Amino acid sequence: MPRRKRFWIPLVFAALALAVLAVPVLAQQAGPGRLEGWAARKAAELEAALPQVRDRAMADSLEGKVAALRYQESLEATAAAVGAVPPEDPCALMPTPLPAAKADARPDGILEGPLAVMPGTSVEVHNQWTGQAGGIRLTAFAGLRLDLPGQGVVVVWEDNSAGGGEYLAPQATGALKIVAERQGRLELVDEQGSILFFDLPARQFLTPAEAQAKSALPTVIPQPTFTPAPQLCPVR
Amino acid sequence: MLIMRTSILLLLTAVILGLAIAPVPAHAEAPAPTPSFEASEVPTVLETDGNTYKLFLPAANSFNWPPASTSYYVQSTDPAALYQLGCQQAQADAARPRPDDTLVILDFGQGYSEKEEGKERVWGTWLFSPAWRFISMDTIAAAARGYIQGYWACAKGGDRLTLGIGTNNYGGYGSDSKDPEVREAFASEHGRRWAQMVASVASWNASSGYATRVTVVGANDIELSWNPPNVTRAWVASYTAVNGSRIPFYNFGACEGCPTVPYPTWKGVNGWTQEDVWYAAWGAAAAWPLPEIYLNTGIHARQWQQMSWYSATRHGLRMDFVGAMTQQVACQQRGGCTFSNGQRMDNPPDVGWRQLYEALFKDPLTRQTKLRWSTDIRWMNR
Repeated sequence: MPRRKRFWIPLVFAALALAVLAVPVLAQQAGPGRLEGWAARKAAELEAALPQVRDRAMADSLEGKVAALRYQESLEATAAAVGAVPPEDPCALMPTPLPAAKADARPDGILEGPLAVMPGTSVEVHNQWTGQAGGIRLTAFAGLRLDLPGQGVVVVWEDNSAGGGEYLAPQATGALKIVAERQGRLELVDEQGSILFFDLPARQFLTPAEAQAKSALPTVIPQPTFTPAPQLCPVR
Repeated sequence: MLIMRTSILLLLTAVILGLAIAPVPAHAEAPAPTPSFEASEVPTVLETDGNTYKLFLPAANSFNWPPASTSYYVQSTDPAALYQLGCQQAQADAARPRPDDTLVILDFGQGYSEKEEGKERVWGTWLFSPAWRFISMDTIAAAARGYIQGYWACAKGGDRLTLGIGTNNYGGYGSDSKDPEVREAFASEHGRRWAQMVASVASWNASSGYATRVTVVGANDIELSWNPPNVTRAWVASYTAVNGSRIPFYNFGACEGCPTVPYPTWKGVNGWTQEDVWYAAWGAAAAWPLPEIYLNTGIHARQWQQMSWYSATRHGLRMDFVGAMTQQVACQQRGGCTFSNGQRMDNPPDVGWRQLYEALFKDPLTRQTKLRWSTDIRWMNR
């Protein structure tokens, strides 16, 4: 076989392989069509699985899921018929902002409410206190660690920085509740009726001697404050 | 000689293409996890699911991590504030070259209700912080509509959003009772009302023309330690019964304490069983799992893989996970994500997603080649 021909044959094979393999790559990177029809595809996939499922509960569930996906398709069709077009001004549809006081007001002092869980943690909050302590505006939550039997806890959040943390009571004597705040020190009561003190600027529980002494403890290092993100749509 | 040269060229081509397919992590600061597949476990084949294609090559792993969206613990229900967040997500999606398909959960807090003397009971949630107050279903629906409008107004190209209107399974739903039977009745009513509210937003979304780009679903952060199974099952059953379960909900909870190996007699906190978890995350017609994969050790992923294995062996079909949720930014915002033994709960979104993908992939019974979404939750006003 001539030398030139021997060179071209593998090159042609390689080009063919490249073309075949490029199809899926380009399909994956294609435009809007890639994301359309997900509900229909998923419904078809589940429908195909249905005949193999012998379990009645699973089969009923699958039928419901398929019906939901078909309904989603019908909602998309309804919307498509409306033919809405996004406005040129991205802020055009913005609702009138509520007065800040109505939306987010939170009074200083002790705030009571139902027991609440702090999302993403195992802390059950029994009440909270908001105000200034050590020159920082913060909120202290008192309650219980649900994953540690009888373990009381104080959680501190600084309003405008990532400063703060979670502080376990010295003994596991049940949930804590804030009963008073004096000069940056929280007075708390546990489920056995014992009084505990928590120094907010120092972020620590106090021993009885420290609580009696009333001397200032070393305060925590201030954390950098957040820079508010610019508003995309200025309030009009 | 000729065959050998052709083979080498073909192999090189495949490797180059495989590398081209491998995604570039958007969070460059997050350390990329070492792929745990052995080369022999990875099929060198072309696989299709719908019109998505993946190459499982030893040289280029099959990871196809979707860019993470931002979900929120909602702290303000002002529709204008939510509009800005929707617009921000749309702009983030538009900044990427490919059309995006993102999921955002708005978590409005625990189910709650209030009753004033002489008036009907009003249903909604207890907004966690800073407001620490009750908000009604109407307020929640208005906030969700604000987010949708913001996304719609700022979206570009073929970007799409699925919005989950979320609550959680903690507490007495305004019953002021710890009696599981009383809570069950309240949870049931809350589930019914939540489904109606989500359906009303979905219907408005369609009639406004937004559903070509935005899909509305419900969501619930179901945690085993937050209520006994009968209370949570009542919520799920009621939600599912409304409108013939036509609007799904995503269970974005953990499976705390769940086994990582087959354990048929397992009983968890509050008396939960694997059957209860299965029902609340997949067995109910409206339920789809979007698990929290928080722990750096990967245990959360292995627990959910085991739940999928349970589903496959007990009910004849594996679970179909819609994605993975992480809380890296929430941890940065408020701390408290490190245990005394040094374990951390702040998986970056790509790591959480990969942990789940890998755990599911390792067993043919639970293998899932498409894991659609990755979302990282944060506090809204910080």
